Amino acid sequence: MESNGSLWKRTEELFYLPKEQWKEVDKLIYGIDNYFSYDEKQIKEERVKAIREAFQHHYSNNLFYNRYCKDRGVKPDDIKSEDDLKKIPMIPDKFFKDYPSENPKDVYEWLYRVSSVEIGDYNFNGGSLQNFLRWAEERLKGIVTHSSGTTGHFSIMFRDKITYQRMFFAAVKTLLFSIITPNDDSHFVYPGPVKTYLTMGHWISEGTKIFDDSHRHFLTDRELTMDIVKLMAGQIKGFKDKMKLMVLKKVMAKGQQNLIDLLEKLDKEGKQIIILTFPFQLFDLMRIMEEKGKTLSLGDKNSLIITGGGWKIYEDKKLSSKEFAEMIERTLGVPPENYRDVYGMSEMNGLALDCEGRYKHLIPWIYPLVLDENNEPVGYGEVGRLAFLDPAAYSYPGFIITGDKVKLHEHCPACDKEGIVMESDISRMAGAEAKGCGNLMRGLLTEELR
Amino acid sequence: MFKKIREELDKGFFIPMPLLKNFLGAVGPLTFVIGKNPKAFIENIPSWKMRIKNLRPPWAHMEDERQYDSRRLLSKEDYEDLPPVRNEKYLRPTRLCESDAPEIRAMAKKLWEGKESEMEFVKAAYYFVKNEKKLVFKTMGGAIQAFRTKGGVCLEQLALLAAIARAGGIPARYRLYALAPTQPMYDVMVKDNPILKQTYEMLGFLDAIHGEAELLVNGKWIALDPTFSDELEAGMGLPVTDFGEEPMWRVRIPESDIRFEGFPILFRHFLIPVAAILRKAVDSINAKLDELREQGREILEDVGREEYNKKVKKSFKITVPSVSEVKAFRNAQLSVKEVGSP
Repeated sequence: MESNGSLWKRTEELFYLPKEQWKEVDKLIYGIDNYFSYDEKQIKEERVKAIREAFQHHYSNNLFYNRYCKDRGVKPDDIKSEDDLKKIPMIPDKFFKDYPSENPKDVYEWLYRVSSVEIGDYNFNGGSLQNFLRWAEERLKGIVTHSSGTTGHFSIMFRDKITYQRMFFAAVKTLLFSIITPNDDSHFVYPGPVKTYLTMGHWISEGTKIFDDSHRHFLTDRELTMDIVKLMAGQIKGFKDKMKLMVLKKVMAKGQQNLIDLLEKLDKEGKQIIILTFPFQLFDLMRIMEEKGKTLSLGDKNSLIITGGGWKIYEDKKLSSKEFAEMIERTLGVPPENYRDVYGMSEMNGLALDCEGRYKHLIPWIYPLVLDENNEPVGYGEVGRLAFLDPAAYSYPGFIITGDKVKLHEHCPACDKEGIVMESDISRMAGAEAKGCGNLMRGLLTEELR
Repeated sequence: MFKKIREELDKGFFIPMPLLKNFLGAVGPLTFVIGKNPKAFIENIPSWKMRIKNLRPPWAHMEDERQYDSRRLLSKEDYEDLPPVRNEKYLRPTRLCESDAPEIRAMAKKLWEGKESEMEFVKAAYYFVKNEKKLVFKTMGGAIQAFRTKGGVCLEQLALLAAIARAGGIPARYRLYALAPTQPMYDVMVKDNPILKQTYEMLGFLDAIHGEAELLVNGKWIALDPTFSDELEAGMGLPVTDFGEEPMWRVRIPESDIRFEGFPILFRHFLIPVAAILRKAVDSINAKLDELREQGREILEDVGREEYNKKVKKSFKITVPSVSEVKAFRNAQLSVKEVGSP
């Protein structure tokens, strides 16, 4: 699956964990050649071992989780086989916004109290929460991100160095090396801002460090601070931030045109292009191209287009996978097999990638479950709330109940690739946030606000 | 004369500036969206016609709500020896909060019966409004209207809770704020109507149209939101909110808090144009709320309130230890490792 090219070498330099530090989960993340082709029986056994080891780690190093498990009468010795995995107590994803206030000291204390790793003493004196996230990131030597905060409070996800390396290695390998083999001169394009701690932007900023700066292109270099995000989410803060938001919107509208020009230039030069974005961001870009009568032929150079994050409340504008793939082929010239949608969550260290039949194949170390309305697991083929056990999470217990409504299959009905699959129609459950990061980005680009 | 004017101003005659700014801020997007969706606007015509035919204004709520009149719960004796009407700040009647009305005072007296502390009384008043009154989208008529009918919008239910509290001798005020809805609330109230949906998309939140009643008990203001009844919460698949808990159906945006003692003049009329413009959507939302309440009632009857809540809260509530507890735990773990190491 990997190549000997410079991009792969850079991926290893940045995100590879030395073998002597490997835990059970690292055998799956770093040790498997192809995340979607393996010996299923062997992987199942290794996954159980990895999850059991991760459960032991959080049980022993995280007091809140230790008590949570004790309240539910579960201890590491109870987890012996795959059947026992459903006993592992899971945390609702909303938990990550339960810090008491946005005062940095309060956030630090909350982080200290819920973390499975030691984060040291508090010596931050930088004022804003945004600066605190920077401080926390340096302290953890990992990555800290926040959600869109549209429900009043930002969710804050904190990953230490180990979790950071695992997540980015897995993401780069899944997205960039599972579908095509990128050449050393390929260009990465993200039609959004990356100077932000907002999840998607910040992840892309970090993950694309495998490209040199002349080979990665973003919509704007302007900073999208937490204050601006709050302003966009309805928490009006003041004239200065309003002005910043206005400027940002203008810059982003202009940035779209610049990106189209850039794509045309790269297309003419015969460069391979990789675009990763929210579907509606790409939709907006393609709509502008169609209005201007522009078409590209990026497919000739084996270019790749990946979308993720869903359409959220813009469901009414949503195109079916087939229609969207057709639009991509018509506008960008990329054939359907080189367009994939991906499912991921800010709490999850691994992705589920579309196969050509548009089923989302989950990487091998994550064990998904579907829960009914009483949070009891149901079998494959049933619709319910997605939960997952993610042993790659080291700084927090990655045993999470999501707000997403899904249907799982043990094997893909459309192809012979390995991995538990999710059907593409993913919606939100009762109690889940109505809006997310993607909608906020849509707000920046939305026609009505231009 | 001056005293009277000063008192009126003190009670909140004029709309607080942040609230006015919020309302005005919503007018632009709402007008723009209505202009963009003439079809959704025209769809109201049959609803308006039906009301005019029945000699009612186009914004009128048409359900017969006589069976919900809470006066039915009061006996003749309940109206005897009513608690006095007080005139101190936060205890006096204010606009839409008629704590001097006999039925409100009678209910306050009834709710005090057998209670030994202010907290017990406040708890009883909260559960009375939460479960006896329903969330119904209609124009505001104040605490008395909510008391005599099925219920009303959230602000009216807050007004009723504040009125009962004041009549029972507990100071009460309002706290309004912007809120972000959770998915079930969005699905029921926003999703299906293009005008509501697009306005919400443009604003990104619902500003200053919701709030809580704050009641002063034992020197501390307690925030209470009785808007969603137990059955409505269960119907939406959410935990049933107990006294003192934050409801799970919405999220408050704390920076947007606006506190006041009484609703300002003309406030009740603000909802009239909205009720008229969104008549069809409002009728459909009210019908959906009835359906959800019915579903919730069945769930709670089948499983039981406590059992239902235990199950649902599993996925909503976690307790986190203190920093010192975590430090002690880590030290203990460290010494176990040191002792265990060769």
